[in-house]
Amino acid sequence: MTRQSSPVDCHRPAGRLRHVVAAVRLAAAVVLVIGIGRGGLGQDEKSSADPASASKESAETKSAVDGSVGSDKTGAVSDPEAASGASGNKADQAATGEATVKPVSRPPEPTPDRLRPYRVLLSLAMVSDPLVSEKAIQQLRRDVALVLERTIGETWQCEIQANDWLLPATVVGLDRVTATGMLDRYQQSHWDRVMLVTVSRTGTRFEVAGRTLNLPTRALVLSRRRQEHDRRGLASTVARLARDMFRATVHVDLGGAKGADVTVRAGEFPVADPDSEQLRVGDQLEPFLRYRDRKTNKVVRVQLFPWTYLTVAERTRASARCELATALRNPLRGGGRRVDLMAVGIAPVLETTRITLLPRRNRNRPLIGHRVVVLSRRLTKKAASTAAPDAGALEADDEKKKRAALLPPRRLLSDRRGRVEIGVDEKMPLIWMYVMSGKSVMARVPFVPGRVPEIELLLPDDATRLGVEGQVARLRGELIDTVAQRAVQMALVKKMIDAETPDWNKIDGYMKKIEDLPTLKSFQDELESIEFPAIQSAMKVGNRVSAGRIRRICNDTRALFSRHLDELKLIDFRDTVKDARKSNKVKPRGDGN
Amino acid sequence: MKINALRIAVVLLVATVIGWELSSGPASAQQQQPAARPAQSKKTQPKKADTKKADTKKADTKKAEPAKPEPAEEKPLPKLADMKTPDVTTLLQGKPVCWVVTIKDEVIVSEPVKPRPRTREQMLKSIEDWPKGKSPAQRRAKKIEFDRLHFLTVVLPETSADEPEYHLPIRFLKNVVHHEDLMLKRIDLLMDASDFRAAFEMLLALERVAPPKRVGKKEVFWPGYVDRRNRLMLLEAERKIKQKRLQSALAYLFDLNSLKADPPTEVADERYTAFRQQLNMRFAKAVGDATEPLIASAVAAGDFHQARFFLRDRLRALVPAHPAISKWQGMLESRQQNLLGKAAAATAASRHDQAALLADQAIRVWPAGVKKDKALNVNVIYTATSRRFQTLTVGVVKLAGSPSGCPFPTESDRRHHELLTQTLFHVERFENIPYYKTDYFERFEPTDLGRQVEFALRPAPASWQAGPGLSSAAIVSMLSARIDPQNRHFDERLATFVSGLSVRSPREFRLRFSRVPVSPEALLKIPVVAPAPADQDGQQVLSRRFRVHDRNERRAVYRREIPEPDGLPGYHVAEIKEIRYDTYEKALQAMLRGEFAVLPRMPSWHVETFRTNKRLLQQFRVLPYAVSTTHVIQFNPRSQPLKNHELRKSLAVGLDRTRILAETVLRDSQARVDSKQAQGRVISAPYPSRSYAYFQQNRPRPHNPILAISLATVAANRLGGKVPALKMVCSTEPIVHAAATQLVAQWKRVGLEVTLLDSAAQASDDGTDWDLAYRTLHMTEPIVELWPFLTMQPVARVADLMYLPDWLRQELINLDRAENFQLALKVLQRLHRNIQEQVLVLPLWEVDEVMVLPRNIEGFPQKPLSPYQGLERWVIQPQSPQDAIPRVRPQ
Repeated sequence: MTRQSSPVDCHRPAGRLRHVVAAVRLAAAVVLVIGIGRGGLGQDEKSSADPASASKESAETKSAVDGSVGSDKTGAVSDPEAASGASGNKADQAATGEATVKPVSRPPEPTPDRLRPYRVLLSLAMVSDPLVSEKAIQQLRRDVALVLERTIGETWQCEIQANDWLLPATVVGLDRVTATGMLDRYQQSHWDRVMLVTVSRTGTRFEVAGRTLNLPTRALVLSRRRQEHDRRGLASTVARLARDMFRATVHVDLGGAKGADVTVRAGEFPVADPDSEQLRVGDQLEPFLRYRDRKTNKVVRVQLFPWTYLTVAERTRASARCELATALRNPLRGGGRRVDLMAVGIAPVLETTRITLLPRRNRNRPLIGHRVVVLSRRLTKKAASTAAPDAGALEADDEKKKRAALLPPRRLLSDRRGRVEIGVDEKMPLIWMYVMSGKSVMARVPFVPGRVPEIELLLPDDATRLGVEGQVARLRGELIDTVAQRAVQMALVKKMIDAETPDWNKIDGYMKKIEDLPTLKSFQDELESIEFPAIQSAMKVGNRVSAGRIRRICNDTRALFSRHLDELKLIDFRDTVKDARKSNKVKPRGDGN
Repeated sequence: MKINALRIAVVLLVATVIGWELSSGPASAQQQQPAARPAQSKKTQPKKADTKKADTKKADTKKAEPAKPEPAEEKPLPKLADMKTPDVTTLLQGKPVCWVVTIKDEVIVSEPVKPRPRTREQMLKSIEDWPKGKSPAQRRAKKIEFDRLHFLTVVLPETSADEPEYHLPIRFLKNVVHHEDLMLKRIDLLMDASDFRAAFEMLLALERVAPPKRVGKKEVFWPGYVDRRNRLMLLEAERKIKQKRLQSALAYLFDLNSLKADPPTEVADERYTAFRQQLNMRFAKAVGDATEPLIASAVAAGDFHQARFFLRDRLRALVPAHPAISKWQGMLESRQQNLLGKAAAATAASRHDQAALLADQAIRVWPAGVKKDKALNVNVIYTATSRRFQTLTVGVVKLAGSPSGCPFPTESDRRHHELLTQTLFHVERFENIPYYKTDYFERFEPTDLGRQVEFALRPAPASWQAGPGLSSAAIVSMLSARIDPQNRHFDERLATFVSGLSVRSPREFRLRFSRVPVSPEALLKIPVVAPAPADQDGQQVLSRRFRVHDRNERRAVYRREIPEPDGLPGYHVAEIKEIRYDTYEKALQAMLRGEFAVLPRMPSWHVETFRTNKRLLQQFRVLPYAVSTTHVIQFNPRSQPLKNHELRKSLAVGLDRTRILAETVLRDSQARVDSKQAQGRVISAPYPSRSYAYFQQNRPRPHNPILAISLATVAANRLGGKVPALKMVCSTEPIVHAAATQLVAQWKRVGLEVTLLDSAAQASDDGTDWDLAYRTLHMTEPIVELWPFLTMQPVARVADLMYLPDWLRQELINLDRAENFQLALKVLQRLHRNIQEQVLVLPLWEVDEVMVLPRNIEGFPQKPLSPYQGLERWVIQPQSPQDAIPRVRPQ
């Protein structure tokens, strides 16, 4: 267990580190064995479960974003994978408590993760009917096992059981299954994955559906479905479904701000079918923390990182290097003695996911009509603000060029329920969403759509700042009018002064028009009347970020006013006119010039 | 005394000379006709060649012998038979002369003599009237004077004698052919030669030369003048008839008719005696020849109004007893009776529409009764059928429902939709805020602080209702579809407010709001529709009013969806017939002719006439609309150049809206001075200035061409160096089109090129080929209508706001989510200011329009919001078609 705080090139150091870790484990194992030898053999892998707090459906994950870690998933569960070096054997050993003292034997070395296959239970639910006999069902089980063995190989230690408790034994029954129910049933078991698969016949067609309970994360994934029209291919279909449902578990060895080095469980085992690789380059992983009890070393809590994903950049057998995409600030700093920093593979199941934009302080008032820009990569907030500019916004040429260099973004608008629908794009499984509010970026989050039907995104309240932006835009429009009119009037006055016989009445008229135009002070006063109440309103609710942004907007605007309504220029102009008037009076008439 | 004796001696001498002359035979008499100018006569009177040649010869003869003075006594006087009537030029331009005809028919050409006319008669009369009762002494004293009466003073024209005056004794005088008589002769000759123009000219000259004298109440013309005049008029009329210029012929005949009412009193010569005898006969024949073809063609064209006009106001006015009158009247009456018979049969068969049509045709063929046995009474049948099936005729410049090619609803579209569909709630009146009404619900009660509303439908539709009744199931089904996101008619705004619906009974349902709307009625201002049958696309409207019955290029006919049943005490409008005219002026003329009843829109410059003219006021009512028509320029959200703020602002300040409004739209110069009194005013928002949402502090942007140029320059810099040419689409309504043309011209002056598209041909359906749209609208509820208006969509969808800046989008959303009216007003105030500042829309002006309808229509609202508001309750009292052209006033 390491704790990494800065991004480093972990490849070579990671190798050495692995050896260190292995040595430490070995030493610990020795100590434990000695300890066991004193107090009894065996590690009860089926340790009694701690009282579990409420665990939540994986489909109902909710998190908050503001540079901090969101709500935790809690759950005190038992951990079949005790870190005490339990072997991969199915252990049903109970402490016998025999009084006889047996000779102390050296405990077996704990199998490293990369050599530890997954324990997968495939619970097959299939109802017999006149065309599907029990015998056929049993044959199917055997066939599926055979296919899995041939394709997956040693990566899995798979057992296929008949499921007799799922009712109905169809996708409907699958969708009714809850994570809580599954955990209650399988929590105490040693399985790493429990796959519920249903096979139902409709005429000559077989509907195959499956759902996976991922015990390390305590998450129940949404169901997948297949169809098979040929009975002879049913076993392959079921096996393929099982393969598709499976997602790898990795251990984060070294995490940084931009990436992480991970160890793939059972990664050393080759697979016969290349398509059955558990982890490939480009796959997404979702990191999580596992907290263990100090005394029992059992997992007491699992905490997912919200809006954080790892993408496999390269893989060499059991080692992989991943790129980090996160809305948080350096999240992979976790891990320690009793904290495991791990990640589990994820993949979209649905075609779209709806994201609801909610203000943090008032979830009953969704954010309607907010722009959401979807891009393929992460940009700075400044770059993001110009990646998909607001309609009619002024752009500098270089900004236009930068924007042209990017892929065209997807521009979405939240509907009346504050929702935007993000579709799954095979070319872009991981997207970056930018929630815009005027020129500022309210949120910048990565997301893998298609895993859940709906998700909420809590955002800061930006209404006040947006209102200020609007009023400032109006003021700027008036500024343009004023500047243009002033320039025009001044040009006319200059032209008249330069004439041979200036018409001073007209000149006076133009000068009066110039004087009647709004001045710098009036603009500043109006700006202040906008700024002050807005800041007060923001500070009242403790929104200092918004208050800061409002100040920034107003200061920029103030600078703009000062630049374009320079009073000195006006004073100079008045003096010029005055001088011209004087010289015109002094000039003798009829001098022939 | 001595002088008088001398004079007498001279006269006797002259008489002697004359006698010698006469006895010497015909001499060059033309020498004594100084008025005859051979050279001039050749130019002006080519037809009188022979005479002129003779004249020329004589003149030449005269010229050939100028220097040989003949003793006067040797020249014989010309005979009357040899005298030629002077030509036109001579008569008009030459010196007037007269022919003094002696008892030997010799002619002395002299200057005009007196007394005149009827010189000899007058001389004899004066001799006779000489007072005899005077004493001999008095008679002796007056003898010279008396003797003088026996002599005619003749003045020879252009004579070299010292004293050109001569006195001819009356006993030698036979007759005097005055200059006027010569003119009359010439007129006769001209008429004989069919040179009526010259004859008219001569006649006018004669009237100038010898103006009529007033004797008592009569005017006495030169003897023979009246006959020539009458003859000339008649001949002219007959010629026009031959040329088939019948209306012109009638004009002459009308004049002749008034003139011949005062026949000449003097005795005419033989020719004109016969003329006088034949005048009436020929006149009647000419009148018949002129009017009958006109009547026939009018009947053939089906224009019975015109046929009756010619029959009554022409033929009968001129010749009351003409046989053609009874012929044509009989024909028209029989046609009327035929149609009335068919109408009665249709009524019996309950085909009331046909009966009304036939009765209408019958009364238009012949509006008066027929005095025959068993004749059907046209008024009775017409009244009964018209009352049963009432047709409202409307004159428009664009038919309702005709394709406009515009990407937004036009006035004709609005009329069409208003006729076809009824909404659950509609605006009944507007006084700063709209007041709603419903024809479907008997009651609706908000409960639970407005979060729930209980609706109860009327048990049965009212008898006057044009469409079918509704059930709560249909309404709830429609509302459910509208709040279903999967339904293609999904209304997201409604779905935001409505959280649930439940049917309590066939007549009752409940609606629950998740959020209480500011105006539930505005939210439910929607038609009730249902999915179309499986074999059809689209949807069918359940809340119908009228349906399209017939349509062609010139007219569109709509009828009640459900006709009123028989047996009712009273009936209402059953049919609307829109008739299209090319221009408003033609429509106005047609209305005055009685071709249609209601004029829904009218140019503002005619309104005052209808309000002040007594005759028009007796016939028509002028109803002002409750809501002014707002004219705006809307920008296409997809137009790239118009995303530039400076360009939009330049378009706004580059317009002198006051001027265009005053000169083109209202044609009222007062509008520039006093906008309060005018029928229109410049505005700053896309809704009426009387609306609750309009804030008077936001003044319309003033015209500033210099600023417009300056902003256009800035815009050009931002748009790559040049502002591209923009395209504007607008309705083909004449006033709108004229105003749009002026807008384009004003923009051109500030350097902005805008092309006006012929919307029907050039604008595409997907809205990509235009940048600006000139549209008119009536926005009564900005809280609800502003959003769809800005996005140019029928419903308020968030996705349509994508093109707006974020802060403005949020303002619209805040308006939609306002919890109460006060908050909504605050948001509207900000929006008004922002819309104006950002120039999202360019409001132009609003016009207070009126509707004109005849006084026989009842049941309409006093201040309608639209032309067909409450149409189901209008009642048209039967009224015979009025002949608008006034009758000929008797002379």
